[in-house]
Parts: sequence; C-alpha cells; structure tokens
Amino acid sequence: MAPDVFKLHGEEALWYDPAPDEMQREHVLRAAAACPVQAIQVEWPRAASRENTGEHRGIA
Amino acid sequence: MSQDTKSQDTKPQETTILRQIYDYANRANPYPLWAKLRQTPVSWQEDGPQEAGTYVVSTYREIEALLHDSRVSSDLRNSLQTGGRTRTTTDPYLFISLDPPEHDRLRRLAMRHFGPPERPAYLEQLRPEILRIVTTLLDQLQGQRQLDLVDSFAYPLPVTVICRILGVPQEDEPQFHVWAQAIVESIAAPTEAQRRQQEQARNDLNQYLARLIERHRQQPGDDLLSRMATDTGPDGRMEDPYLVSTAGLLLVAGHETTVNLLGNGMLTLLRHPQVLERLRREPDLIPATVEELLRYEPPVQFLPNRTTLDETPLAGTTIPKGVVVTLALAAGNRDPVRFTDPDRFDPTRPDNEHLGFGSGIHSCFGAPLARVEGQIAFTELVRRLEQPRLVVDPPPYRPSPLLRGPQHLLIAVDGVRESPQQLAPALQR
Amino acid sequence: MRSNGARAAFKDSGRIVIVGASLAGLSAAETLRTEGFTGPVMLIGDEPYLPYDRPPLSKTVPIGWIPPEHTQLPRHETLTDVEWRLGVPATRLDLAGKRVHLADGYTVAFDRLLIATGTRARPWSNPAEASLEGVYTLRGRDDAQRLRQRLAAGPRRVLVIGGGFTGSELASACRELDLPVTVTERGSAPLVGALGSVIAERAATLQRQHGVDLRCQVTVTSLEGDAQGRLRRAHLSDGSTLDTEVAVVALGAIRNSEWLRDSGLAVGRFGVGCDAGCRAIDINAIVTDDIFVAGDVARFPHPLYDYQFLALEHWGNAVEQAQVAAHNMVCAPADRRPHVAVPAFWSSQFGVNIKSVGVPTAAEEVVITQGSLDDACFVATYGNEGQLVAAVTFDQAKWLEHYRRLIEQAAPFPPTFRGVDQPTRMSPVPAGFPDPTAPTHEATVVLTGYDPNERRVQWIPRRYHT
Repeated sequence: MAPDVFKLHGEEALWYDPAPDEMQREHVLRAAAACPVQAIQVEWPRAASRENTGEHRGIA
Repeated sequence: MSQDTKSQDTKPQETTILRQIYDYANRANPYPLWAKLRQTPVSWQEDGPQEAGTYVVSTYREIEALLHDSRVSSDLRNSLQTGGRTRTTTDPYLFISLDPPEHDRLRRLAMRHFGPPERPAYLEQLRPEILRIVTTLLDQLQGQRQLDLVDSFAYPLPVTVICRILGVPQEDEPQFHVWAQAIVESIAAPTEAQRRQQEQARNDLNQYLARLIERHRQQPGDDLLSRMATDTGPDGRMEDPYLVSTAGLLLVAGHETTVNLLGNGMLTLLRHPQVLERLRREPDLIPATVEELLRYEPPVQFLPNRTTLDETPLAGTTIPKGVVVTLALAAGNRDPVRFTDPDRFDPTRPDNEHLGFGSGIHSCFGAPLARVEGQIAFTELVRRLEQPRLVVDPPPYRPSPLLRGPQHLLIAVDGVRESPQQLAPALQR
Repeated sequence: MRSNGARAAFKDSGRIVIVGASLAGLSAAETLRTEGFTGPVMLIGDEPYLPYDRPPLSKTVPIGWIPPEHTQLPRHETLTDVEWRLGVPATRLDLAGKRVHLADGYTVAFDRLLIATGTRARPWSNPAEASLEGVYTLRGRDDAQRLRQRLAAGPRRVLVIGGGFTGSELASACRELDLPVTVTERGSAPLVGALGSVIAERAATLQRQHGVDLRCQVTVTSLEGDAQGRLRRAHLSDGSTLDTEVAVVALGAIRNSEWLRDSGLAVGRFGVGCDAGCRAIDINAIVTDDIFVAGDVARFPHPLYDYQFLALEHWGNAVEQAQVAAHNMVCAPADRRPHVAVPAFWSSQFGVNIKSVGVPTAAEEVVITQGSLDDACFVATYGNEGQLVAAVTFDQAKWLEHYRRLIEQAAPFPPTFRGVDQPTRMSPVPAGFPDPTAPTHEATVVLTGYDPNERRVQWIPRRYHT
C-alpha cells in the first residue's frame, strides 16, 4: 500500500519511515486504514494542522 | 460442559442454528442467527445434511484465540470424525488446507511474486490498470437507467483483474466460471451430487491450468503463472502439482470472494444513503469504509474446515481432540464485547480490527489485492453513479451461505457520470 | 464526598511533572490527557529533542534508510497544553518539599511526579580511549547521526564491542552496507544473556552465515589510538589485536537513576523500585503516594513471576507501564490498575524477526515447540519447574499470542499438547543462561530479587543479572 514508506526486513519484520514526505500522505493513510492490526498511528505535521483544523486528527 | 456430541446437553434450538444459517431462506439476513449463536461461544452444531456436525465458535475473542492456536489444524485429514466433508479428499497441494511447515513454504513461494518482501510495489503499480478496468466497465453503463451491478460490474471486475494478474486468457472465463461455481458451492456441507461435481470441476480446472502453465513456460510473460512456473528463489521452485492447485486457488478465490465484497458493499451503501453521500464529499474515507464493509458484511461468513490436534480449552469448556471446528467470522465481527454498537454500519469507527480476512498464518493471501480493488471500485462507483437506488431489497442471493453475496443487484440510476479519464486521458493516479 | 471533591480538584488543577521526555514520558502525558486530567503537565528531558523512538537508531538509521530526525514520535491528538523543558537534566529530587532540581538552577514544584528517565548506553570504561576519534557509543539520535556518517564513508572494518541486541543489530546493519564487521562478545554466544545458549547459538550461526567475524568468549581489553587521537586497533583478551578505525561500544545500558541517589527513594543499580501500580517505593520499602515510576528506569514486581522484581528495557513495557502509571496518577483509588502485562520484546537482525514473550531468564529449560532451529524459523518455549515462563520466535511471530495466553494461564512446560509443525521428539534441555555471578554486558530483562534497596540486598543468585 505504501512500499516506499514501509518495507519488510526479511520475511516478517516491518520497518518504516516514521516521517515520510507529503508525497506519501495518501499511501500512508490508506495503509493506516487497512492495517490488519490497526497499529499505525498518523500525526499531521503542525503546519498543516493550522490550515485544516478539521483534519488534525491522529488515526490510532 | 458437554463434550459429548449432539443429543444430551445442547438445547434443541441450538442444534439447529447452524442448519438455519445453511438454509437458503435465511440468506438475506443471517445476523440474528449469528447473534443467537454468540450466546454460547463454543457449541456443537449439526450443519449440512451429509455432515457429521461441527463445533462452532462464535465470539470474537475466542475466534481470534483459535486462529492463533497451534492445536488447531487446517488440514481436515487430521480430523478423527468420519463422514461429511472430512471425507472429501483434501487437495494436498493447496496451502489453504495444509499446516506448517508445508503451508509456510508454499505460501512463501506464492508470495514471492505477489508482494513483499520480493515484490513490495507490485499491487500499488497495478492501481492504474485496475482503475482503467473500472472506468471501462462504468463507461459501458452510460445511458442505462437500470442495471444489475453484479453482472455488469461486481463480477467482471475481479475476474478481469485476476485473469490479467495470473495470465489467464479472458475468453476462457465462461468455462472456468462453471468450474469455479461448482467448487465454491461444495466448500461447506455439500450434497453427494455437489461433491461429485466439485471433484469433476477440480479435475477439469487443474487440467486446464496445467496446459496453460506449460504454455507460459514455453513463452513466459510477465504474469504470475509465468513467474511461478519459471522462477527460482531460495525456497526453490514451486513444483507442478502445487503450482496447478495454487493457481486454481488464486483464480477461484480471486473472484468468488471479491465479487461479494463489491456486491455486499454496494448493497450496504445503498441502504445507508447518508454514508454514500458523505463518501462523495470525503473520498478519503473509502479505505476505512472498505474495512467496515469487511466487518459488517464479510464476503466469507465462516471458516468451516478447521480441526483440533488435541483437546483445546476455550471459554470455560474444552473442545475435544479431532473434531471439526467452524469459526463464525460473521458472528465475531458483530460481537458487542469487541465492537461498540456492532450492528451499526459506521466507516468512522475506530479500532476496527475485523475478522473479514481471518487472522493468523492463514489470513487472506489476497487481502491486499481485495483492498486495492475495493478502494478503487467504491471510489468510482460513489463518484459516478447518479442518484443510485435499490430496486429490489433484499436482492436474490447466491446459494452459498459461506461465500455469501447477492446474485443480482438491481439498481436504478439517473445516469453514469463521465470519468476524468474520459475527459483527460493523460491524467493518471 | 470530600475525597471526591479532592480528586476532582486534582484532576482539574493538580500539577504533574514528568522527568524523562522519551517514549515512557510521552505515553504517560498522552494518557493523562486522555484520562481527563486538565491540570498543568510538564515534561523535562535532558536531550534537546522532542521524544523520539530508539529502535530505529540501530536498524533503519545506520543503514541510511531514514535520517535520525525522522525518529520523532508521533503525538496523539489529545496531547495539548503540555509544557516542555528540553535540554536540561534533572539533578535532584526533594521528596519532602516536592520539588525537582534542574541542572540550570531552576526548581520545579509538583503535586505528583512521574520518573521516566530511562537508561543510557554504558560508556567505554577508559575515558581516554573512549574519546578517540572513531569510537562510538549509541546513546541517542546525535550518536546515530555520527555513526551513520562514519559508516557511509565506508570504513575498512567496523568493530562492534558487545553482542547483545544493539550490537547484533548494528552488526547486521554493517553487513547490509557490505562492511566487514567484527563482533566481540564476552559470553559463549551473542544474545546469550537474553535467550540462553541453546537459542543464542543459532543467533551466532546466523551472524556467521551473514559474514560477521564473530568472536565469542572474548573481550576488548584496550583501544589504541595514534598520535592524532584516532583509533587504530583494539587489543583483545585472547592476546590478539584487531586493526580497526571504527569501534562501536554496545555494552548494555545503565539506569538514569543517579540523580535520585539521596532522594529517599529505593534506588539502586537496577533502577527505582515501585509497586505493581507504579508507585515508587521509598528507602524504608514503603510505597509513596505521589511519586510514580515507569519504563526502563523502573523495577517492579510481577505476579506471574512469583512477584520477583523485573527491570525491563523493552519498548512495549515503556508504553504500557507509562499508561498504567498515568492512569493511576489521576484515578480514584478503587480504579487503580496493576501493570501485569506479560513482558515482550523484539529485534530484527540479519533478515530475521526475533520476538519474545515472557521472561526467558526465569527459565531453566528450553525446547523447540514448532519449526526448526536449523532453519532459523521456530518457536522455542522456556520453562521453570514444569511451568511455561517464556516463548521466543524466529520468524514465527504469528504464534506468539497463543504462547502469551498459555503463559498467563500458567500452562505446563514442556507443552503437553499436540500442535502443528511440532518436532517429532521434544525433549527439553538446559536453556544455558550464563552464571549469574559472572558479569556480562547486556540483559534486557533482569530479575533482581525481592529487596529493592541495593544496600540491604542479599542477592538470590538463581538468575542471571548484570
């Protein structure tokens, strides 16, 4: 879903970039929504949140 | 608690709940029955007419526990029960009905060409192609005021996609549609006739695939069958009988289940027009909506083919060794102990760790593909269908209680909007 | 009625100070707000950075996949209105006066305090050698940055001193960068302190299979530099020398508890003692009211392990314990929760995902319950006196939940049930944990006996500890 942000180390271990750039936002959101164990938490950067207060939500 | 089977301790009503689930009369709404079943997390039930019965687990935590319990086998040859589906010759080459280590090896071999770690970007790269297929299907509906969403969209989409992925010529589709139907209808509690048909269908499908695989071996393309047939990696190559069976599994599972995700999904959205409207305004909610649909109306309602290798304590009772165990995913998905307000369809619900794709080592292999297809399909459907409304509710359902979904979904629309792809073909996601 | 009023008043306006602004501190602050605490919250951290995640520092950062700044931890949406005092360590705790003294001279008053100062990497014992150019210790983000730059420059060889989890992961990163790497390990095998020799031997093979020059039962006795103060070679305890310009010291962690030495709390080498509700224990072994502890710096009793005190360096523990502590800081006495989560940790190295649940070091025996040790793909279970105490998986993480449940239910060891992928013969063997009296470098789980105060300790040396 977001192969530049998440990658498998070996067969199992999931490594990820905790701060991917804006280009990855859609991919990361999709991954967060689809995570089978709902383990991905997303935080918007502060700057963006000032403009879109309605969007300033973490998806835990 | 009763370990002995049918007669003594279980109340008469309880022994018929699963039978009622199987009964076609309840296909449109099995959820009150699942709710009744949840009153006893672990119970013995009689299922199909030819079956010897099965233990049923119906609550979320207990299902989760068994999906991770090493005493539970997916290989029915380990069952001590005789009769019924335990008599069905398990295909020894299908990883879905095998245990580790064989299961792990085969799944790894199949995954090499499908996703991470070797092909992490594969499915993401398929998105434009899938969008093109969706767009074409919807374009063909322009001008219609009434349409069957299953025949015109929910069925052709996954079929086209899986054929492209596997490298199966689409003109052969009508033939293996017949085989797929026969196989699917016999997964749970088949009649003797269905069982025979299934065996025949499997043989025919396997022969077809064996020929196809040989063709791909001679002239390999970039499809999955070519890759699986010619590639070698650290685990070696997948041997031919495994290859044929696995290809069949991916082919059948690749459309029979996704069809129902789309069919059940659109039915649900049409029954909840406020949600539909919200999705038009907030397409970012689509991925979460797909997950909620998988919880609310799972395409695979239960898993009927587990067995216990040993006594397994669960929820204050003990499941005996060697019995057939059915995991009622659809029941677990609506368990109020796990999900707040479980009968409410709510794409914004937090903490939606549903059982729609199972869990544990056998969790759905095709889940990433189903998600991608679902996300793209619903986005476009929501965007392009103008004022869609159900013509028939409930719709007629397909026969299977297990792979459950509408046979036809008749809807009325004011029209089908143009797609941006039509206006600006150069635009790509 | 009155206690309700006092509690409500505290929840609205009591002042909470958290010393330690890393994973545990952040988790606690988030939980305080989620629980409805609206009073002032201050987080004090010795580093100048907002809380950041440590596991990536030995995995994704050294290989250059992510820059160190990306390790900043996401903050939950409920974390608002929190005061950050970063880049200033705490130096003293005035228990009676309820004040924390900071290095910049300021003091901070509190109504309730959470101690979450964690651990730091053990430095090289010789300060002159430690300051040689080319000698690194992975203390934090800045060190990770410096190490990354050095690895990117392509040194001819890297020496990793210490084969614990951090050392092994760094060695794995070096191999991923195709750098020659030597690992020295005091014990019989890497990870022996955490996994026991039977499983650790497989980890050793894994390293060698990936081209690591692994030297066990060997220590580095000195590091030698040139006239310009650059590292040139290492002297080993077996008499050999190793030419190298880069050495990473990975000799385990030290609790950041020195600042509490004279505070009147039960503080020792293994951290600050507390009860299962995270309330700190004082020097008389009496539980305090308003001082809480969470994370790497805490020592706490665990009911599943005979109430022995555990001191964990686990990511999961930092989060869970901090959440329990924060909840207990603001809830009604009747609503207190114990921190009884089964300990768990993970490591990813050399393409293998190693995970553990329970306390392996509490075990005498181990047996492979699923899979194959040779294939480095298995579930190993650990037991003590016929009871299951831990399970470790190599690339079989999906089964861990099952074993965690069994541990919680005090299941028998060796497992008596028939399950999938079982070896035909399952006979337990001694797990091979090192002699507890011999010091080694790293234990991510330490069983430290009943008495929380080091000065009155008579260690029961039945288990491994540093």
